[in-house]
Amino acid sequence: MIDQALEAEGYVGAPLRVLQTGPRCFRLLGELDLSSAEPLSRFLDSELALPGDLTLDLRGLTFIDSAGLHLFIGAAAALGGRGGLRLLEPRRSVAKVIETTGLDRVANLEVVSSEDAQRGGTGPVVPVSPIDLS
Amino acid sequence: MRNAVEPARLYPSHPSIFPKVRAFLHQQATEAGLGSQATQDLILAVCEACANSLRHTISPHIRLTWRLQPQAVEVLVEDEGTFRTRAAVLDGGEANGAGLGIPLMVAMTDEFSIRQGTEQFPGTLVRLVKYRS
Repeated sequence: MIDQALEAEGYVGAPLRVLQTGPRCFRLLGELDLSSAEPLSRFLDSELALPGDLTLDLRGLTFIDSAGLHLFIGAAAALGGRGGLRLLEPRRSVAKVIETTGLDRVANLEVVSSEDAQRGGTGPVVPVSPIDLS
Repeated sequence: MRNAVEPARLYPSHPSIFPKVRAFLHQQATEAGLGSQATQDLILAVCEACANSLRHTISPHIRLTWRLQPQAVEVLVEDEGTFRTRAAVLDGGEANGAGLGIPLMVAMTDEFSIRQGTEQFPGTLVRLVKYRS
């Protein structure tokens, strides 16, 4: 029996959008794949040029492929010693891909699970400005 | 041997196809009663195969074929191209996602095979199988 949550979560066909939820904190909504990784990378370029931690909230990310994983690896490397990349609360399907590929062990990159977030108290995130990458 | 009644789709070789690919696979998986995790695994694996075709071959089209077996689902990903560099598919050094594609396909499926197209025999075929249990 197919899990109805798949459709309820908008698994299929959701283009990637970005919500800025705070200073250097962005929520990704939709699917991150070969077609959306490049515009997202261009969008993040200006943030990666600045020092300090960068947080990507993955709670709304319903799909990720290898192009998205490489984007994260590249972003963590680009920040270098000037800050780290935090990936916040990936949902189960995305977390599985992250764990399978060992992304959670990449230098300068931290994956914060929902359990970790509850313990650490990341605080509420409030959408500020929607950004359409299409 | 291709079965005429097997669901299949022919897509242009362009990154914009991925939402349509996922929608097709999701529809077939729903009709087949494939579990949610197996569906997500298979969709990722097939998307990686399509991405490899886009990255490494010069082919105008990518064809997907869905085969429903008693104990498994089999998806064939075929193109009409040849690998620009035969070893590129196994290269982990490229920045656009290459290098993780094949490990992900292996990890997300129960059976995986690839026949790379060559100049003498064009057309790459990737076979991805997910058990239904």
